[in-house]
Amino acid sequence: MEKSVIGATFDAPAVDRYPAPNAGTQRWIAALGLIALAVVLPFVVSKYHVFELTMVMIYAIAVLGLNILAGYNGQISLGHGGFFAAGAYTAAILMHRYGVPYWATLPPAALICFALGVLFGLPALRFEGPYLALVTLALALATPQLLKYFDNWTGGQQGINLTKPLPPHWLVIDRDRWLYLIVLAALLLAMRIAANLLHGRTGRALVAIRDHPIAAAALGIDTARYKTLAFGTSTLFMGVAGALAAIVIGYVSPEGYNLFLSLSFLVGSAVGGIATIGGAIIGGLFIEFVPNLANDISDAAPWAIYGLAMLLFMYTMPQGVVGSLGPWITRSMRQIRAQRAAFAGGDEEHDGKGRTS
Amino acid sequence: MSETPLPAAVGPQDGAAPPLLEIADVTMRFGGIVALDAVTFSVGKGRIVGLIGPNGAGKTTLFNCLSRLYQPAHGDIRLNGGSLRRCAASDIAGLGIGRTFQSPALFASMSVLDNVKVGAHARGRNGPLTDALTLPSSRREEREVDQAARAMLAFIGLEDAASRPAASLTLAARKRVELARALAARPLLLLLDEPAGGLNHQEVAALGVLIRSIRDQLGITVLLVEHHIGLVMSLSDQVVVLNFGRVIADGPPERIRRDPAVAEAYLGTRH
Repeated sequence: MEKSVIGATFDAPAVDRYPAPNAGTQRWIAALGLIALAVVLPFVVSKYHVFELTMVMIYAIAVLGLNILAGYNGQISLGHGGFFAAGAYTAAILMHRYGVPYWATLPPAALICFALGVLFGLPALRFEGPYLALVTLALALATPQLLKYFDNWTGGQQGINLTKPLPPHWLVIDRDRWLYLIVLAALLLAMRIAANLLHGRTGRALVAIRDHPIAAAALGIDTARYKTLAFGTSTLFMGVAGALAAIVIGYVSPEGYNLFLSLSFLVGSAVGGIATIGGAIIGGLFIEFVPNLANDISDAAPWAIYGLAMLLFMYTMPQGVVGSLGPWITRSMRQIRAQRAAFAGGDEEHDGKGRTS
Repeated sequence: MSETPLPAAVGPQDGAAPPLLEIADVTMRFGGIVALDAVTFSVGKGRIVGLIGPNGAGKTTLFNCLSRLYQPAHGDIRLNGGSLRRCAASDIAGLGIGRTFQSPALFASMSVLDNVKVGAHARGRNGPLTDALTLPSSRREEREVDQAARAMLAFIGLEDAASRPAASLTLAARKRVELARALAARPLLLLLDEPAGGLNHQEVAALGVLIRSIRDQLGITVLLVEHHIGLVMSLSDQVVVLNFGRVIADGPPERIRRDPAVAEAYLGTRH
């Protein structure tokens, strides 16, 4: 009887039960299909498009990194291009000066950028919202100058030229397609790790801090520790993306890591869906293709077109492409499933398993 | 409202067992204002203690001292004999003090279930590295957290709302989710800050039943700040009255009801 009193106060209808048991399997099949498509794609498009798509995936890793910090933890950084540059130069210097093989530069780039991110994240704890954005803006502005200043390491204005790595000799593909596959593997690994991290205890703590820091602390979440961790994890992804960019482009120079790069990451993050994992790919596509498209539409005012594209995206999909379309797709899928269940319930002679529509 | 005698509540407050929570001489100042003035009382294990007083008496300030959001100028707060003076705000949940807030402080973007799972944070061990690699141990912990969170939702009667966004619930339901979230940490002591605020008559009655079952079924000690005097008097084994930051009365509800100082604080002096 007491139980019924408790239940009675909940007057809002319960619309949402647990997902259907086969939803997980369906998701796996969809993911495997997409991966298969991504593996085949470089062999059906031109060599230049292969390079472009490789850059899309590199930007996607970077946007994913920024999403962990800005999207899930609510710390806006305008300076993440600086960490991208740190990763790129780590790879370039290791390859050029010390003859380290390209693949072996990724772990050090990740670790160095993680350490830099933690060091930067500690003072950043004192700044909230727009103030943090301003502090990180300073980092973005300083990055090209810092790279020029340490010219005996970075090659100054000239930058560093790298030889593009070759595929293993038993594999009969050209080097661009080989690099595409390596970057694809890195992206898939990055997305898997990000998903694991964000869907567990750590991810919940990060979102809790973003949504209500005082309640988060009262529940035992060490907010300073997790905010610093979010910074370091985010810059780790940036470092890997930067190192891959250096390897794929085969060249690093200070002007490539300016304020605009940092802003692009944030734009890509917002357009794709700031607290989503899949949104990073949309963000990568936007960063790589929209400036060129804008140039094609009007070579007199490409940035006006770019701005217009941004406005259009943010106006129609304020939660980003994935953040806005994702819930819509889930809702539609649920409706279809409910209709199908109602249909199957209508005629009881069939078991409903063999149906295709 | 029926006042059924509760076996766990009988017996004198200063019995053989030491109290769970001791608040000793706690003083808190904001600039020139003394919000808490040498507040001293204790909460016995397994009791429901009501903390009442007019607006501005210092009730929420005291809660914030207990949560380590404020650092008192003087005095000490001890849980099971151990001082909280050197603890950070984020240590409190791990030590066994859970709380709810005056206006529900849910994580608005998360589902109801995830909100309750965050409540289990203090008991979890999964770190960023084990999460990122999803080791078998972290999978196991996630399963346990999921089960515990669903059990807590069932306890508060909201298991059907598990996957709804927390922001979409009614005030009464949000208050319940906040309770489930605090309970997911398996606290020894639960601090409730005006749980009946904004609820209708029926919801208040249901809340009373729920708070009593938190103590009776889960064995959790409750310290309750509340303006709804009927609720406090019917639930509490002991009532502490604050006025202008001072404890003006402390005792069983029957005695508080007759206390002239309490009547004066609420109704003013008779001329």
